[in-house]
Amino acid sequence: MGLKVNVHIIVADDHGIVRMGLIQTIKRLLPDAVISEVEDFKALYKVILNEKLDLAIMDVNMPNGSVQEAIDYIKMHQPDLKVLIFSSQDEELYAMRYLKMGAGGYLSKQSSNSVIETALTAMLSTGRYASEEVKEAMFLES
Amino acid sequence: MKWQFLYIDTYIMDEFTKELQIKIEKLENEINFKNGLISLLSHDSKELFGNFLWLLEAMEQKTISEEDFIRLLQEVKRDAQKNLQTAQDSTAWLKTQYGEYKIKPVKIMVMDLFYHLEEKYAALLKEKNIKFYFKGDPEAFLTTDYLLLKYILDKIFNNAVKYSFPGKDIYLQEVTADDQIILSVVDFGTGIDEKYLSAIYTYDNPIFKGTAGEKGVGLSLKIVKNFISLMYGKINIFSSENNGTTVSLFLRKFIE
Repeated sequence: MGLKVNVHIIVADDHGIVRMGLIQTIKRLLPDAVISEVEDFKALYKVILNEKLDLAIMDVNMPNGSVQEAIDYIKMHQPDLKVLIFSSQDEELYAMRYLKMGAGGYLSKQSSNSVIETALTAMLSTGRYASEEVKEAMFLES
Repeated sequence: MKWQFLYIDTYIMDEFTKELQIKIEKLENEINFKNGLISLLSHDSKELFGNFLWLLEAMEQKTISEEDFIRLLQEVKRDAQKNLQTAQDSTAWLKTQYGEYKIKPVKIMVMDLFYHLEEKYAALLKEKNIKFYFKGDPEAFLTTDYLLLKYILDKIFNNAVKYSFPGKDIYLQEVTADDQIILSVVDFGTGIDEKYLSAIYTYDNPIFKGTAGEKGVGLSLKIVKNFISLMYGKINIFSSENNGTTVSLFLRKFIE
């Protein structure tokens, strides 16, 4: 199944460098994607209220809110919006926590460009993504 | 008579169990604090070095402009300062963890603490146009560990400045009651929503930007709580969103 061409993606991270790097990767994969960027949870909520989005890629350590609140807010206002957590936290230790909160996927910030592209494609087509390490951690936990 | 012994045995056992439960709880808190700290240090270092590497590589490969490079370098600088502060805070806490740490009580004039904060934060107070003053007995003193108390007040005051609205006041208040002294730092800033107060000493609580966009890592209050207990004291935070925060330290006036 091909990806929608003009998908609307929001990148939420308090680091300009992370946003810039991720947006460059998204643009390479999806040149026609409409990309918004915010640097804290409050700004994310405003965009969620005003713009129809296909994918939210968000950090967990942003100021002015929490991931759980953000996921709850998304489920309430845009239940179909896919959520990919993008974090520097150890994925084997923390990914499950965010997936249980309701995120569709977890992607480590230390991932290579090709892994990021795989994650984006998976998120946009199925709404789910977990790396092999996270899948292994899931098996061990279950 | 036999029943009486049984009663005493049960009483001793109950007391022993209570004591053990307190110790277990204390150890669990310490483990959680340490795990959280290691996780924080690991996350923040990975973030800083990852961003720095990306920036250098992007410049080498000319995928960003020189203008963007300079702008983003400021972000790396701010992150480096934040990480350095985290490392310094962790070291301050680590010093209390070696062997049987004992506090070193000395006589401290409360006004000296006020002057120290006034001097250290003069530039920041001026920047936000904040008036800082003292309420209480100018002759008040207490006998406790100077380094720990200075660290605690510094962190609390730093937060008060960070979250104060420009042009508002901050004051240090002293109240002495019998053998207890209550030192409060009162600000009229952003405050914090009541729903976040219960988890304020945990790593799960959100981090809020200061009124000038200042960012922290949320570590200092956890260390403050730790230090307060070393001084046999208590801390209480009262806050109201958009009205301000009062942080009160309940300390023994004398520690032998």
